[in-house]
Amino acid sequence: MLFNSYEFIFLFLPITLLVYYKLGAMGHQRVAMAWLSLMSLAFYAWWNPLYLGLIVPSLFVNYALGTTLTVRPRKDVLIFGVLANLAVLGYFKYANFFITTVNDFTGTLWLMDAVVLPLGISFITFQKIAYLVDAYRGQTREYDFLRFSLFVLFFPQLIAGPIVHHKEVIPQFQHRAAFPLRPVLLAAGITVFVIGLLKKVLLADELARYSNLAFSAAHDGVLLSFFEAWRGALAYTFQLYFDFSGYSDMAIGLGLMFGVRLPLNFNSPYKATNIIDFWRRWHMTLSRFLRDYVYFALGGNRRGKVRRHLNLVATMLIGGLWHGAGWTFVVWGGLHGLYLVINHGWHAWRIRWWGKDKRYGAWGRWAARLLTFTAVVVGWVFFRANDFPTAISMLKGMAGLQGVVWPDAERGLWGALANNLENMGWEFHNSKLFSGSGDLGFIAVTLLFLWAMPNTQQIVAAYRPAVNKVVEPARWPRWRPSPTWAVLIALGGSIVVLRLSHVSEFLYFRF
Amino acid sequence: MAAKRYLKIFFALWVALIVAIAGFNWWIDPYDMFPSPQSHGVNQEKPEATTRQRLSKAYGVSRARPEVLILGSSRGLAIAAHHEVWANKRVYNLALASTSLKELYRHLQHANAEGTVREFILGLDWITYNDGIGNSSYADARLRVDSSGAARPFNAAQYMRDIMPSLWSIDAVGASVDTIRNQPSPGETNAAWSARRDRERLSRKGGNRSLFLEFEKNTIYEASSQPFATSRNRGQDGPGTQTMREILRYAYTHGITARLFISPEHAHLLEIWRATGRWQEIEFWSRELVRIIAEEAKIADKPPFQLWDFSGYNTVTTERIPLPGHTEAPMRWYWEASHYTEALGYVMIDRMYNYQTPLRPTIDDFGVLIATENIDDHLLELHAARDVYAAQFSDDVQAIQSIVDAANRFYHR
Repeated sequence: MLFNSYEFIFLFLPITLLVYYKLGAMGHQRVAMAWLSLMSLAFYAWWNPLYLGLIVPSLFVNYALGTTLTVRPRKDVLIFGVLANLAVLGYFKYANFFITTVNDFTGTLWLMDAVVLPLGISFITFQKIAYLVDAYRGQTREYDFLRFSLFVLFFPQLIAGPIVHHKEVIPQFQHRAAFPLRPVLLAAGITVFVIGLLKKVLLADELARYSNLAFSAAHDGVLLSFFEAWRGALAYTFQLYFDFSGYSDMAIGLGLMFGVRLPLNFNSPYKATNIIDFWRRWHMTLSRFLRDYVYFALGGNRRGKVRRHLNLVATMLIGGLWHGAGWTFVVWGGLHGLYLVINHGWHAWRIRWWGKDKRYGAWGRWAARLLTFTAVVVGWVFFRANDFPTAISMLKGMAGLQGVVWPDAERGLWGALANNLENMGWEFHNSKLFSGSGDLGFIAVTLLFLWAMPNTQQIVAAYRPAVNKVVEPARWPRWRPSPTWAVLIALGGSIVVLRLSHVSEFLYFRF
Repeated sequence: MAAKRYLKIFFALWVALIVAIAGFNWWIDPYDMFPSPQSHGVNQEKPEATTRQRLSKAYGVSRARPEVLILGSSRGLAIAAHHEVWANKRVYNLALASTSLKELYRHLQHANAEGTVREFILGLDWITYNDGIGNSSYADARLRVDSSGAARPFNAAQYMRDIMPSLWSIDAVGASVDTIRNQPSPGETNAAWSARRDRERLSRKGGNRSLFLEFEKNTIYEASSQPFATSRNRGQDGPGTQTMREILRYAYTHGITARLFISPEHAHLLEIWRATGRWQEIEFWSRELVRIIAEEAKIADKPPFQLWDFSGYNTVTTERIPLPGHTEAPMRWYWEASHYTEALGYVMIDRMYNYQTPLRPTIDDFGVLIATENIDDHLLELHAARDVYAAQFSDDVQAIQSIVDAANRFYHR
């Protein structure tokens, strides 16, 4: 079931919430937790009941392994557990990729039926691995099965994160923090959920049209000109952020409605002034997992400079592959690994020349932000493109190697300059992929919005929406449970409902 | 305390807004989905429903439980369900734009499962028969019968998928507002409103001549780029013919009277088929039709169903097309070469049911009953009539030929 669906908003969520708090109020808190686990299973099974055949056995096996490891940390048990989880992920997510890669390189013609990828399996796998490793390290306590299942199944985070860590969530169930109902958390939760949904349905879904147009044109061999390519790449950059951070907001908001604080996942990543900063702000729970369970496992920075850089790149390559079974994702990861190595090198060099305390001025910070943003956009081109020719073509367009086109209808905007531009190789004709000043204005407004406005958690900061402490709470706007905010969020909630779906089939008559 | 008040205000307002939106869309009901009250000048006419006709008709026909069905492609939309011959009968126009014969067959089964169909008329045109340009994307899950014709339970999931956006979506709100804006003015009858809309649409499009030209260009370029034809593995039926047989068989088994007709295409369309080398295909198609009608009747041991050919060269189909830009005196029978007016729809039903009324002209040369006995003569007469037409309207024939030549140059550069 999708968060942005009628059945979720009108049926699943109200029923699950009401029964949960009713049971809690009657003193049956364990029953309430069992109810929430069962409803989470129903939420998951809504897509395909067959998925239960994977998630339920995996739940039992990992619980058994974790309990064993907590009592007696044995390395062979841990290795078995980690490999078993990876094997499941490998089969469902990467088997097809592996076979096509082998076929491409060796010319073999192995065939395999397409495997249906169970939803959220990438997230679930990482969460389980973290749990097993921590159990081995002696950082877990003996959790009872009910709390463990709720930690795994809790529907707000089940499909696409945040990748919750047992340490931050299970104790919340342990301390009965969820009961009784705390109106302020419910109010804040609804607010965060509605803001997340607005990001998704008003911004991400609309932007998707533009990015799809550009990337599918490039895929079909159209040579995109400078503005067309940039519009497509930026539309995707914005879309991905609004989509994923919107989804994380929804998850965090839903968690709050049930009295549970989830970890933050996004913190205005496009405000980052360098790539290290970016990864502390983008998909934060994944960065944390990669650092704690991949980078550190590879030895981190304890084995010298060269190994440290290799570890960084390797970690990012794995992170890339985790996002999708394709070589474009690997390249995206590798590119970010490279960015990070350069970033670390630059820091070391800067400290040597300017000393530790020297800070950038305002102009320096803006330059750093723009550079970081551009590097990230280039990365997203690989992330989004279906294949390398598409990505290369997009990047060539963005570099201006495929000409510059400006809509003929807006030639007048350039005044006398137009002729000079034409002599420089600009072409003036209309394009489906770039409408001129309107698009530029939209891009400018969006960038301003992303760079100047606080994010969701900063707006709600005073009410601690997440496990983490929110740095730099917003000065404006600041949410509080006031009537004005109630009206605004109710209006937002109605707009969202109108944007959930479209009426099927639209016929254009020829006459 | 503040939080409790916040929650109260939020829920009260949100629920009120959601209910108000749904109530508004339910009441205006732009897609004709709900049993809401209809008032003249507010929501009685449903112009937006035509843009979502697969949605509204699948459910509409269930509510109407018609005894008489009008089936066909977009051309058949021009046949009014309230013709006098069907007075006191429940009649439903189930014609669908850009449809295929298969889709029409599935909807016939569906309508008959939801009520009892006693008779239907089925408009045939060569393109629909051969699935040539069909872009039908209907949701089969809406229909109450499976493909074998067995009844199946109401698909609640599909219904929810259809009904929720009809109540809560930007599309629906926009359609409701447009519905209110496009209604008969006070004192205007629905018929006058409909006529006014037609006139406005025609003048917006620059008159009949430009509609003809637009249609002709599209058809010629499509016909020149793809080899659509009635499949004819001799001795074996093509897909269109197979479905046609299924429809006939279905009618016989369920005791339904069928009246079939070949759409009254304007002579221009025949000229297009001739100039793009499809004349023999059309002849073959007519022969196929009469052949299988006779064969199926024999199998069922019943008299064959009537097949009316309204195309050809007669007073109606050779109606003169106004000069370019002339919008004051629109054509009486046609929009363009293939889509005819509701006025002609009435005349066709008069003819098929042998109904006479002083309100409308009786046109004797319009519509010929064809069957195995007279098909050869009929096609021979068509040949002769074409020569007469070509002589009389040589400019029109020439114009069509030059579009065909241009299309050929375009595709065979």
